[in-house]
Amino acid sequence: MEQPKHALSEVQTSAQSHGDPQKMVRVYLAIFAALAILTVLTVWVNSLHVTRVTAISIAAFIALVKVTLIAMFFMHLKVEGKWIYGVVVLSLIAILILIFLISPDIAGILGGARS
Amino acid sequence: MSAARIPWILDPSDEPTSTGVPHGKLGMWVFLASEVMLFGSLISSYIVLRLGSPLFIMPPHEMLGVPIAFVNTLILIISSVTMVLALAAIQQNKPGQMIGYMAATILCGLLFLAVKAYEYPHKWVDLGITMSSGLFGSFYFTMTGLHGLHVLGGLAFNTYILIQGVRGKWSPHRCERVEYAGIYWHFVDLVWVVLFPLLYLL
Repeated sequence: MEQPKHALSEVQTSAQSHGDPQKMVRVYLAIFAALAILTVLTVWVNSLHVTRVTAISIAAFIALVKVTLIAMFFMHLKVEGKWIYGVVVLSLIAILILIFLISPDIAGILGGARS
Repeated sequence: MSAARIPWILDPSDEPTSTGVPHGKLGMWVFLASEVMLFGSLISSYIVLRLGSPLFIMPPHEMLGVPIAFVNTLILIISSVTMVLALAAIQQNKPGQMIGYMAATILCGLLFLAVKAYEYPHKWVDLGITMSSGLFGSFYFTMTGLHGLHVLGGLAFNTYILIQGVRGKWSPHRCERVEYAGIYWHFVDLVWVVLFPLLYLL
């Protein structure tokens, strides 16, 4: 049996779903400041004489934080429901598969470098 | 004839859904999921070849133009915040502000492409980095070129939103497409946030 369609009034609209836009403006500006600071931090850390592994780890961590901030607040993932999260989780699983598939190659390369 | 002129034809964003999420929003997220896989496969190939191929010769960082890429990153971040402020403005029924923020977003996108248009010939002519000069060149131009095409697509979408905004189409209860354009534009910013350290810093 076909599932009942949601009435027009039940379908979420942009204006209703993100909270009070006036309050959100302050949040957006705070996220912008955080992104700018993190970008400066990425370049600054890279200019320091740290080991390659440390530099990669710090850059990857900062990029992950920035991506999370953009997705959660600018793309409003924070207030989305299960359908949108389902799509996002599927794409993240695909990315994990990609990383999982190349991990033997990376392990082989690093193993070869050590021997 | 548009849906607005025929009252019994619904605007696409009005259609009832079985998920409770507007078709346009769900469609945009599914599209972005496919984009994640596209860029993800390129990035994972880059990592494997960068780590393992003896043919992958990384140019010195001084040659890559980190300061200019850093400025370009800031331009895209600024464009992301103006985009989300445009949505907040129309949600508060401030169409004038929304038009201003949309124009600023488009301007930042054009500036980003202008910087890239300066950067590319500099790499070809002065540094000898081309698509066929080596693995780095191939990846650099493929990934930044693909990203640039996405910026172009975003500019087209944003220009449509701006023109419709000037015509007074958007209101607090009809601004779904402004939100969809924003979701796409933030994704373009998000991809650059990953590409910048990968191609210029590490």
